[in-house]
Amino acid sequence: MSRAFRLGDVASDGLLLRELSGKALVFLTAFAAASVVGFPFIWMVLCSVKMPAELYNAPPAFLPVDFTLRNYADLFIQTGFPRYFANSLIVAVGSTALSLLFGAVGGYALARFNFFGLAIFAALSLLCYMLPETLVIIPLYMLASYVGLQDTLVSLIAANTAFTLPFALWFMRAYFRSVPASFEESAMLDGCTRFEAFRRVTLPIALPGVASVGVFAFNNAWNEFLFALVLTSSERNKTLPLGLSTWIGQDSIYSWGMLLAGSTLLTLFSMAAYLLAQSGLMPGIGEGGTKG
Amino acid sequence: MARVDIEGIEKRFNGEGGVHGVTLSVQDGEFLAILGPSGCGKSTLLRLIAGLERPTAGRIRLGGRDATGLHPKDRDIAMVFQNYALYPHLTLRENIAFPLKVKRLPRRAIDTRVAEVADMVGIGHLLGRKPRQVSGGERQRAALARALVRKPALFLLDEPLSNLDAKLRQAAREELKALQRRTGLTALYVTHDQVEAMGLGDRIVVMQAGRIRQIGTPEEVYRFPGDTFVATFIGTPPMNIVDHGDLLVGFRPETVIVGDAAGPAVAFPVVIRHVEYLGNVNLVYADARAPGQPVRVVAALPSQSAMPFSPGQETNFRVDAADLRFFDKATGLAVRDAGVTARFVQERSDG
Amino acid sequence: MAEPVTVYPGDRRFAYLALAPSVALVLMLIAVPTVAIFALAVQDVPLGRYSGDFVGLANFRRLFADADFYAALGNTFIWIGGSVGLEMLFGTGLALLLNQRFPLRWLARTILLAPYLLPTIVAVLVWRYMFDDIVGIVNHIAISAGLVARPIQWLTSPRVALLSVILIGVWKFTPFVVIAILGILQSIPGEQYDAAKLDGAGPVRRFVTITLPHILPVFVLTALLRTIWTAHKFDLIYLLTGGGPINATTTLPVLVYVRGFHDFDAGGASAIALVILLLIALLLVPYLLIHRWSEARQ
Repeated sequence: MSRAFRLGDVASDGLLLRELSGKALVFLTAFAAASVVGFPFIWMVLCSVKMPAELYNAPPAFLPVDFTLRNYADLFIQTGFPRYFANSLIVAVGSTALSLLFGAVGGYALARFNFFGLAIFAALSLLCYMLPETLVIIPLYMLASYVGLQDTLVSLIAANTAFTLPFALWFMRAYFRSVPASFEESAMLDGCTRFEAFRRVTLPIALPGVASVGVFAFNNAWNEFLFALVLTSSERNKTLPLGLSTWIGQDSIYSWGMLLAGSTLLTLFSMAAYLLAQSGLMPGIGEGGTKG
Repeated sequence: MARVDIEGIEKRFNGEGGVHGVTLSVQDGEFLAILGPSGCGKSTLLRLIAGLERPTAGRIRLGGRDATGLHPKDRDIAMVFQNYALYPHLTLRENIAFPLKVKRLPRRAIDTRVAEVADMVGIGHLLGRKPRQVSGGERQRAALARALVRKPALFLLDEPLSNLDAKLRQAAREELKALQRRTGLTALYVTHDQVEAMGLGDRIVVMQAGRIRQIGTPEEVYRFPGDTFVATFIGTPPMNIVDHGDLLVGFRPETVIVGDAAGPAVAFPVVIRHVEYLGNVNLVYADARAPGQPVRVVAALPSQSAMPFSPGQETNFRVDAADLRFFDKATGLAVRDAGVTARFVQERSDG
Repeated sequence: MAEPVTVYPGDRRFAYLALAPSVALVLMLIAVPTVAIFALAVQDVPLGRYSGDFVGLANFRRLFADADFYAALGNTFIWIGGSVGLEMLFGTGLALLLNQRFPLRWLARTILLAPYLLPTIVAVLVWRYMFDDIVGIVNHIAISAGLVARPIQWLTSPRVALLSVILIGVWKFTPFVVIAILGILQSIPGEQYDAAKLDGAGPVRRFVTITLPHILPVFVLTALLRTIWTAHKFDLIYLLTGGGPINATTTLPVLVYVRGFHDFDAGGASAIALVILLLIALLLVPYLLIHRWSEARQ
């Protein structure tokens, strides 16, 4: 941060030269690294618009010989991509909504009260946050089949919500603690019950925190693979990771083209979602109200 | 009905700020100032009345009705917080309308009332702004408007002017007083600033260490302090206190006379230390002779009058007998006994 | 930190109601299942049934006599050590780099952090295509550059597969380390460097005396977090190789899945799950200790 290049710092021309060549080295290293890290993205996009047969050429040509959108068409016609996408969206939106709802009210209760059992539950959920999904996948599978929720999106929503909640609770608890209690005290004197004060005042003030939890929850559910693999089986309930993975090596020689087209679309979607989450939504906390 | 009766209220904390056995009544339409140093429990007392703290013991009655265990929302009390607690995500209009919206009043009625109150405090043109977009003084008015909007039975104000700069505070104090006279509201006003308390309060409650030291009109509290704490807490500079056997003798700096006294007067032999010129008055600092250590005393003399003192000079500070106050040395409590005064005057009379 | 908040009438009910759904979900879907694996591990339960014969420690005896288990245990340690080591190395290096000022820094930062935002399935698809023995671009480049003579079976050779999976994981998760370290680097007050410069300290000395002590707590904490998350990882490995070829990339989480859902041995899978639980417990102790230490330092 502070190593800003300032002419005044430089005592002589020799030093200036050394400083400049240092800059050049930093620049070159950074962009060498960026090229290596960024190459798969370029390759993905390039290959997604190559003719399907060209993808199986050895050695591969860098630029497409013929530009085509056939892979994208195939993706929608041959695979269940739209259905996978819709299922993923349902699961992600459903578990995000539930995580936000339960995480916000629960995190608020953990932040403000110290009734019997609350601290124990807070500790328990912190512990649960450290547990991997594979640990409980066998009992979860049994539970789902026992209650008849096997091969449903509901089971995925429930599982994803449960595994997001510990984080959501702890994050919101910390966030609500940073919101001064005087806002809700004022709201209660203005006639609100505890819940109304929470809903009308504390929650809107904590919106940036809620947004962060939302991004986390959505990303978790959107990426989730193990629950989908174990808890769903039929084609009509497959989410994107599971659905696309079944097309790997299903040669039908042409599957790479469709899969790279799907990857490109998903990348664009992720970027759009990320930018959406970053813009708007994020006014700072406590502005204006607290300090005079 | 806005009468407030507090009986033996008690709130214990680990640190300071608790309230111990406070009993107090506020009359309908009265503006009561609660004055004390920070940590004296004055804010806690206010929060107890609001229901934001639960008392360890004692009761609170609002309008004759027991309100000790009542939820804050059911008390019909409005409060202006020290930091204003304006909801940062709402505009000033929405902030002021908030209590009415919670009550589910019709939209039209809300709009009319909000406009009325906003004009009353002079922020009608700022209603579309968020709290962070207006100045400190405007926030203070908005907070006041939000408290006024639903015509509550009782107003609580917790140091509402302390976040304003000195000039603004002066103006806000005048407006507040005018507003109170016009609306006749019942209010409890917590402050550590004696000028605010004296200027605004019909009566002043002086608190220290969680207890009430004195309740009285500004004049009573100033002229007849109930104990040495009140005597030295109120007044700038504070009352001079000089040892005299079992008694402490007090006199206000401005009661010191240089020339002849009208009635019987007492002389305190002093050595002048230094003089401060403050424009309207000169503060003359001196050491009064006392058993053991000399005691620092101050005289506030009109600066127009001739100033006969120079540092090191030995002289007498003369005080009219009627301006002397006596306190019990052991308890610090005021002693109001004409006999005591007479005896003291006789002993120390310079006549 | 928390202000003492007064309890008003109705607050107790509100608190319990507010937490009820969270308690129900966390208990039902995480806590109780975790306890259930203790019960399952001492039974002979085929997948599809809810209980079986009590077999005592037979599942564990079988496990400890199983070469696959030791292979998975070894793979798990290589996977964790290799991934976390490389992620911390590259992550810290890139963070130091991005903490300098240079033209187009925003672009370099965007590209370098991008893999973290990518869905795992996309990373898997792209890298599987790029690592293909025959049509993959990686082999093509390596052969053209004269680095190797014959195509390497990146994901299909038992000797290379685990390394390939680690490299892909490093590509995907290094940005997390970069973000963490960059955040703490930017919190170092600039005056400290200026003062050191005035005292005649060179870049190396400034790094050792100012930068290093400042980032150490976050560095250690990040490494531990990455260790725990890397130990949990299932999807990336399973989607890249399915645990193969043979057992070359089977880590303990993958083995749980294989035992349970390929071999239908719920009891045996639960025994492995318990071993994982034990390992996590062992990891959590240093995590909590270091967490406390770094909180105290800051």
